[in-house]
Amino acid sequence: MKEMQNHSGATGEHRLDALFAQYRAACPDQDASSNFMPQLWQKIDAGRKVPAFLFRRWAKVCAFATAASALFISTLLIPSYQRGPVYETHYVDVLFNADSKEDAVVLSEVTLPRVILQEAIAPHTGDWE
Amino acid sequence: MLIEFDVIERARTGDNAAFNQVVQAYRKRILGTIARLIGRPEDVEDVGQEVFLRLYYSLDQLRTAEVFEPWLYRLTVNAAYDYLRRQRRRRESRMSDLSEQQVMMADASAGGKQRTEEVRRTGIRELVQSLLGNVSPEDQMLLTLKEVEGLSLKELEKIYNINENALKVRLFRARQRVLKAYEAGVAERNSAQPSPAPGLGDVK
Repeated sequence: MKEMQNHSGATGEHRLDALFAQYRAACPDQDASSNFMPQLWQKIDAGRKVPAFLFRRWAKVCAFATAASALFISTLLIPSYQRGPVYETHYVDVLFNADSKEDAVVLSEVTLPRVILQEAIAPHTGDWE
Repeated sequence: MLIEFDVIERARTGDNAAFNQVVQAYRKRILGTIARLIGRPEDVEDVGQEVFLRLYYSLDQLRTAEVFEPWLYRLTVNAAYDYLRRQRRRRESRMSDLSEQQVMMADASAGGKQRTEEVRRTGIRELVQSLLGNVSPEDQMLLTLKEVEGLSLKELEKIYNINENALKVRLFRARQRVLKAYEAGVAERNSAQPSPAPGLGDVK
């Protein structure tokens, strides 16, 4: 049985070799058509032009992108510079000028037990018992 | 070498006439190799032009003229590989396809009057390409260079920059896969058609 397998394997190998040989004969060396060299040189020339063309194109794209981003940033920043300062007086002045009567009324309405107020006011000692 | 070293050196320095000489010296051989690597005669010139285009733009990277031929082969293999990768459809190597080709080959070999030699060649090309479709494009290249082009392991070593043992292992595996597909095709053909027919199982 093994011998038969070996034999068939060997036959397959031989047949495959023969097939490769036939394939080689079926694809002989062929010479190029008369257009081969002109077309090749056209491609070479086109390849030479491509980098310069691409560089120019990229340069234009970069210049446009730079101009557009500068314009965009300036439209965002210029109005904010032109706007006046938000706080024209100091914080202390604002507090001083604030109406303190309302605060007093609010505080008087709150009637908390004295003990709770003291606990709230007294600093925490860290003793939780 | 098909050309003098000094011509290659001149081509390296940008001499277009020398480059023309190089192309003309190697054109036939390279186109033949490409034809066997890709198996499609109609696209051979395009791939060939791609090879020489790459050669033109990378000739200045060639260290010495002595390694020109393996280097040109490498460019050829790469261009053919790129072509195959582009063209390769995920065709499972269906044995029904092989059988059709087998029938075509059988017809061609049996009825020479009806079928031309070109049809027979086309059948063989398609059959081998279909079998080679069972391995990756890289192994397909390698196997074709070894089995069809007849390059030695030393030459392949120079082209691929891989050591000989690794090449042997890779070649062996690729060949076994192709052989398996081939034998499966033969077996299927024999089971489908009791009487032995020439063609796939009877290549001589």
